[in-house]
Amino acid sequence: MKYILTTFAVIGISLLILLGKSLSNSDLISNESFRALIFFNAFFIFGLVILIAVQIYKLFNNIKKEIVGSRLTLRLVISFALMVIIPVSVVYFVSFNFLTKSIDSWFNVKVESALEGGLSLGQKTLEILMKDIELKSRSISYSYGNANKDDRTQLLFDLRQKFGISEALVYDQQRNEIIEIAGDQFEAIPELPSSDDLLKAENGFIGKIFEQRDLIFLRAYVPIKIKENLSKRYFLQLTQPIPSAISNLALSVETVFDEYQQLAYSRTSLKVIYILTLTLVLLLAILSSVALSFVISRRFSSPISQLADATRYVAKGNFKKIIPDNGKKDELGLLVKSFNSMTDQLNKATLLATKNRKSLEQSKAFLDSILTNLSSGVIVVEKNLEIILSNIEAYKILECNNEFFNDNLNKLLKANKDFNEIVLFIKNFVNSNKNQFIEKEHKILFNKKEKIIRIQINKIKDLGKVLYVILLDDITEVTKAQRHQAWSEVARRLAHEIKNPLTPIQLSAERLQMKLKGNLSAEDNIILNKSTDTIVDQVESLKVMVNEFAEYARPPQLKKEPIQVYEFLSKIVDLYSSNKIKFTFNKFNKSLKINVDKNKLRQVFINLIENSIDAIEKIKKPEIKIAFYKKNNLLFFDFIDNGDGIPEDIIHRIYEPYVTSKIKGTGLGLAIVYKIIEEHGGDIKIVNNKDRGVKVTFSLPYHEEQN
Amino acid sequence: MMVSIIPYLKKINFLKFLLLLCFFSQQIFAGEISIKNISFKKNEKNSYLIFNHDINFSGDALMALNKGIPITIRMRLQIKEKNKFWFDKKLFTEDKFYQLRYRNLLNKYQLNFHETKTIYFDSIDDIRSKLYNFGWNLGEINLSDSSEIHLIIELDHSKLPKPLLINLNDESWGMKAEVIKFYRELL
Repeated sequence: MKYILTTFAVIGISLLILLGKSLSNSDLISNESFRALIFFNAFFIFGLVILIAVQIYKLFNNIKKEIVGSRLTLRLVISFALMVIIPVSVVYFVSFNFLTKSIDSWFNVKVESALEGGLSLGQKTLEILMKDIELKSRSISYSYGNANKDDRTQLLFDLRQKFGISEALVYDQQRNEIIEIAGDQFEAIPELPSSDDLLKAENGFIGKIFEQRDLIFLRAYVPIKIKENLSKRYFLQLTQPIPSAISNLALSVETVFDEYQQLAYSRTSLKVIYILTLTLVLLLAILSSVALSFVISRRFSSPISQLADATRYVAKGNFKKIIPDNGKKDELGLLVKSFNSMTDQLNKATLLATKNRKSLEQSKAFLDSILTNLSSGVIVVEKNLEIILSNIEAYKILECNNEFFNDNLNKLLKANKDFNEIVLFIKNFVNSNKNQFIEKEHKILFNKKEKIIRIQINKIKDLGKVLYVILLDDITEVTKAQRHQAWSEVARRLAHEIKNPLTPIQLSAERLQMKLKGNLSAEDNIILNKSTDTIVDQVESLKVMVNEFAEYARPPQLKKEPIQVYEFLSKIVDLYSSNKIKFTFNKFNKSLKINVDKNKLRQVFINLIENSIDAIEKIKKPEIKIAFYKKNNLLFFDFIDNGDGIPEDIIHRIYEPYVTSKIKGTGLGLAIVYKIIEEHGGDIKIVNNKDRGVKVTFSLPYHEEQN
Repeated sequence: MMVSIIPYLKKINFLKFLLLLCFFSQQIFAGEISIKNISFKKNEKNSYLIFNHDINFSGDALMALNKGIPITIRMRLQIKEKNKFWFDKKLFTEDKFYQLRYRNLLNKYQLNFHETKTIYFDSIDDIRSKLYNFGWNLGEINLSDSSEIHLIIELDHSKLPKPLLINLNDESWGMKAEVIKFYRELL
């Protein structure tokens, strides 16, 4: 832009100088070039207008696009433009009026009258001089015509000198014969009158005025009547210069008058030229200043715009924005330097903060990873039980949704009252404010299912803040396994310690009965038989019990083989079929096969059917429903009876040894069932029906290739 | 009669009417230079182009002349040998000027021919009649049938005072006559 403006300025100034020169009537500049100059100036102004229009358009476009600094530029442009336009316009209008009045004042009536007067004076002088030369010519003509032939030449010479005539000629009417010629300086070929002039001169006199070599001359033509030859017409021609003083003055007056007349005639044109020039100058000045104001405004607003733009970047968090430092030592330069320094410091601080944040995030991610993969639940609470850290496992153990994450532990209490005991325990520990560490196992009944949860609470201080790290472990399965292990050990020992002496006891009792039979009185014999029978019966019972214990404690050794489920189950059911119990089968896939230890599975079926039979023996319409079905690579078996069901207080630990609702049961049946199913990789679930009875559902792994 | 004309008058577009009026007014007041009777004469040595020309000054030009503004008439004669395949060959080119001026002091019209000879006249008509017959000495020149004679007589604007120039777009100052003829046409 500045280069364009410089070019425009050079062209504009050149054009103005040329226009000024042309106005001073310089011969160097022709009329065509003057018109061309006006055209070029107008074209130049048009160019400037286009340039400014483009700049204005761009500026408004920038404002529309909300480019920083455009509004400031507009304000500065308007201000600068007004600063120039107002004084220049005032000067223009003053000059305009001055010029118009000045031009009008040239054509004063008095001046015109004076000039006309001067010119009239000149004309009158010439008339008087013409009269004078007329008289002289008439006098010379008369004297010459009446003089003797021989004296005429001398007479003409004398009279010419006497009257101050510069040239005197006498010639005939045809102008073929010049009779006399007298004068100071003769032209080689004297100028002779035309026929018309001579025709007019015949009537007496004809006078002519002409200018030659900046002098005015008077010329008179008169006829001469020569006494010897009156029939032939001769003419006298006298030429007299007007005195140079008078001539110069008259010519000067005429020149001034002519110039005045020219000016008067060109009055309007002059006004137009000067006003046009003045207007061109005004337009050039205004438009140049407006165009220049764009450059100046941009120079002013540019650093401020850059600052505003950079501030916008900083506000968005980009501290890398640096404003180009032009090395200016003014306030704006200082501001730019300070801003760059500030953004640099901010950038460094942000980078450090980002680095720290990343480090923290990594630490947190690491901690989260540990917490997520931890099998124990972790909850960190403040003194007011606000949870500040927790992992998923904690909420799995506490059987609640994620909604309690980062919330208060009391909400958990409200939402899940089964865990009331745990929350209270935590609350009491937090409120007690004494211990540094505490550990306790809690047995919770959640959804009629027993859960054993071990809680460890550690009190720690972090940056002067007291925090409680709660470690939760669901040890239900562990406890169950431990209990099962203990029972297995007991059963194994019992089986080992008790089973061995049982056979000698039984044999001894039978031998004793056999030896003493017949040696005792009838009464004693009855006592003996009764006692030995009791011993044998009890030993048998003990054997049964020991066998069951042995079975329970047996190491898991399965001999799997494919069996046809329906056939296998039907044979077992047939053993218990009677008119009293109604067995109902659901739809079976009769060809379905499963790979199991068939003896163990038979024991499972028998135990479950016998349990059901025991439960429904006092029912009027006893019924056992059996079903098996395939679902998701599992084969499910349902055993449903309509008996009294299992008491709610023991149903959650019904698989444990010695837990039974039957009067005669050992409490090992379901424990063995549970063990066998577990050994097969299956699962079992026992629930009371809604109306009555129990539903036992167990599943075994099933693979299609088994068929 | 008027009633019968009015409907036709109504149909004339006012703008067109104004333009026509301007055209005719310009035709009426515009000055003109006419060239007539061009002929070619040859004596033993020299050849001459003989023609009549007449100048009718427009009101503005006459007024300017009477105010003392000198008016210069430029005459340009150009003779070219036409060539179909190349640039035309210039055989003769000459400019002649004569200036008309009203001498307020002398109350005469002054005719300066070629800035050498000065003749005074009592009226414009005298000058016109004086200038009517014009012979242009071409010197020794050999012309052929294809020689083209180009004669221009025009008011020389460049010799006018500068303030008048900006008004020269006015048609009343556009006095110009131009004749282009082949030599064979003038014989």
